[in-house]
Amino acid sequence: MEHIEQVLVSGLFAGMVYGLISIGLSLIWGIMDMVNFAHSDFMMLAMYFTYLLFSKLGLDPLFSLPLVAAGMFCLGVLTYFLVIRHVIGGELVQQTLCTFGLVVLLQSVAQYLWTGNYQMINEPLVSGNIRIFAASLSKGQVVAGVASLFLAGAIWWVIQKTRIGWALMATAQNRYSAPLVGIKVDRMFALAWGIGLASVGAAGVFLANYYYIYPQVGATFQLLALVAVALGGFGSIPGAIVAGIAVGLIEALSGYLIEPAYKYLVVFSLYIVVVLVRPHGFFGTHS
Amino acid sequence: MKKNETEAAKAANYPEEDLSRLSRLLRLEKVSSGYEGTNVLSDVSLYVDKGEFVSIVGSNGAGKSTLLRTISGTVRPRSGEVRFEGRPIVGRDPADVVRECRISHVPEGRLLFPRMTVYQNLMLGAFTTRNKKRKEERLAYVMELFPRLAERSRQSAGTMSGGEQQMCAIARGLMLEPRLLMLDEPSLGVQPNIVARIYETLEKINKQEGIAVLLVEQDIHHSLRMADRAYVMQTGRIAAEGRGAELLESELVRKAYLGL
Ligand SMILES: Nc1ncnc2c1ncn2[C@@H]1O[C@H](COP(=O)(O)OP(=O)(O)OP(=O)(O)O)[C@@H](O)[C@H]1O
Ligand SMILES: [Mg+2]
Repeated sequence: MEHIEQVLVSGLFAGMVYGLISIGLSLIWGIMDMVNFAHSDFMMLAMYFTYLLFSKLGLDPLFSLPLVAAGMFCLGVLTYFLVIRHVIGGELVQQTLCTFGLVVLLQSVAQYLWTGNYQMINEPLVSGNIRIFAASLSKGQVVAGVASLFLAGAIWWVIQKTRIGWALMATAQNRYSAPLVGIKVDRMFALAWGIGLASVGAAGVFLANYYYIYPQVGATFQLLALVAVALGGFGSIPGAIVAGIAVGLIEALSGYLIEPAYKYLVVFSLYIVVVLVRPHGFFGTHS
Repeated sequence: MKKNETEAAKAANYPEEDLSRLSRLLRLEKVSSGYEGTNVLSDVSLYVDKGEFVSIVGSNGAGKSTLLRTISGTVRPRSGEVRFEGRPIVGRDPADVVRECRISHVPEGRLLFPRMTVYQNLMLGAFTTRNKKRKEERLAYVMELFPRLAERSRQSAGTMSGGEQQMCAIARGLMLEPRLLMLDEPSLGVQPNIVARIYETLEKINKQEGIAVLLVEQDIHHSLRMADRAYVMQTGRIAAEGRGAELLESELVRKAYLGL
C-alpha cells in the first residue's frame, strides 16, 4: 500500500493541473454566464495534437506546447464566432445543449480520426521518476504540476494587471456598460474562449506526457473542474487554482483513506455540501 | 477639416439650413427606435451644438433613456438619422462610437463595475486612450473635480454610497475626454446637497472645458434653469423645445412633468 506522503504529493501535483484546467472554465463562466461542458473535450483534442506532433514529427511535448496552445487559442476564438456567439442571450437550455453538442462532436471526431484505442507518448524527454520527500513521482507529473501552476498564475496576473485583463473583468461585471467605455464585448467573449482553450490545451500537453489519450479522456477532468469552479467561486481565477489543488488532494486522500473506487464519490459529495452551504464558493463574488 | 466643409458649403451657396446642419455636434432626424416588440421613439428630431448644455425632461416612460441609448448605439433605431459632426453613426458598434466620436454616456442606474475599485473604474473610463501619461493627467483632473473619489480610490465601486457611485459614474464618463457628455438622471437616489454639487460640477465642465452636455432629468426646475436649450418629451415624441427658462414657464412642461 502507498504511504501517506506519496498520496499527498501526487494529489498535490495532480491538483495543480486541475487548477489550470479549471481556470478556463471559470473564466468563461464568469464572463459570459455560460458553462462550457466541452471544456475538457477540447483538452482531449489538445492531447491528440500533442500525440500527433510527437508520433508524426517527433516533436516532444516540451516543444509542442507553444504550438498547441496557440492552435487551441485560435480554435477557441473560432468556436466562439462560429457557434457560441449564436446562443448568447438565449435560454440556458439552449446554451447547455449547444456545449453538450460540442462534447458529442469532439468525441465523435476523435473516435473517427484516431479510433477509440488508448494512445501514449513513449519516452518523452521528461521521463523517469523523481523523489520528493518520501514520495516517488514521475517527472512528467511534477513538470505538469509546476508548469500548470505557473501558467495559471501568469493568466491571473494578466487579468489583474493589464488593460485587456481589466476589460475582461469589466465585461464580466457589467456587459451593458462595458461598451459605454469603448470595450467590444464580442471581442472579450472571443478572448475568454481563446484563453480558456489555450490554458486547457496547455494542461492537455502536460498530461500527454504521462497520461493515456483516448476520446473520452476528458469526462472525469470535466467533472473535477466543475467541482473546482464551484468550490472556488464561479469566475474566480485564484479560487479555481486553490480549489483545483484541494480537489486533487481530496481525491487522493479519499482514495487512500476509504477506497480508490469511492474517491469521486467523496469529491462529489463534498461538492454538493459546499453548494448547499456556500453556493458562491469560497472565493466567489458572483451573485 | 470641419471648417473647410463649412467654407466649401458656403461657397457652394447652400441654404442656411444646411449650413447649420454641418456645424451641429449632434443631430437626430426623424429617429424612430425601440425594443423588440415595442416602438418607443417616434420621429424624434433634435440637435446639440458644440459647447451647448441641453436638457431633456419628460415623465416616466417617455423614452428619455431610450433616446440616449439610441445615440450611444446600444439601441438601434428603426429609421432616421443620427449624425455626429455630420457623420452618420447609426448602426455603428457602440464601442466605436465611444472611441471615434468620444460620446460619453453616463447611464441610468450608473452601471459601474461593482467589484472593481474606483481607480479601476475610472481608468476603464479611459479605456480607449492608450497613452498612460495622458490617462494619469486626466485622472488627476477628474479627482480634483470630485475629491471624494480620491479618498475612496481603493474602495470597490459597488460598496460606495449612492451619491459616491453617481460621482464615480460621471467621473468615469469624463475620463474619456468626451466631446459630448450624456447623463441619464444623475440625481437619482442622491441627496439634495450632493445633487447640487454634481450640477455645479456639470456647469463647470460645460463652461470651462467646453464639453457639450445632454442631460436627462426628472428634476425639471434645476435642469431647465441650467440648460441653454431644452426638449420636453411625451410618449416618445418631442412635445416642445426652447430656451430652458422659457420652457419652465410653459403650461406644457407643467403637464408633462405631472404626467397629465
Ligand atoms: N430594455 C427594454 N426592453 C423593452 N422595453 C423597454 C426597455 N427599456 C425600456 N423599455 C420601455 O420603453 C419605454 C420607454 O422607457 P425609457 O426607459 O426610455 O423611459 P424614460 O423616459 O427613461 O423613463 P424614466 O423616467 O422612468 O427613466 C417604456 O415603456 C419601457 O417600458
Ligand atoms: Mg430613464
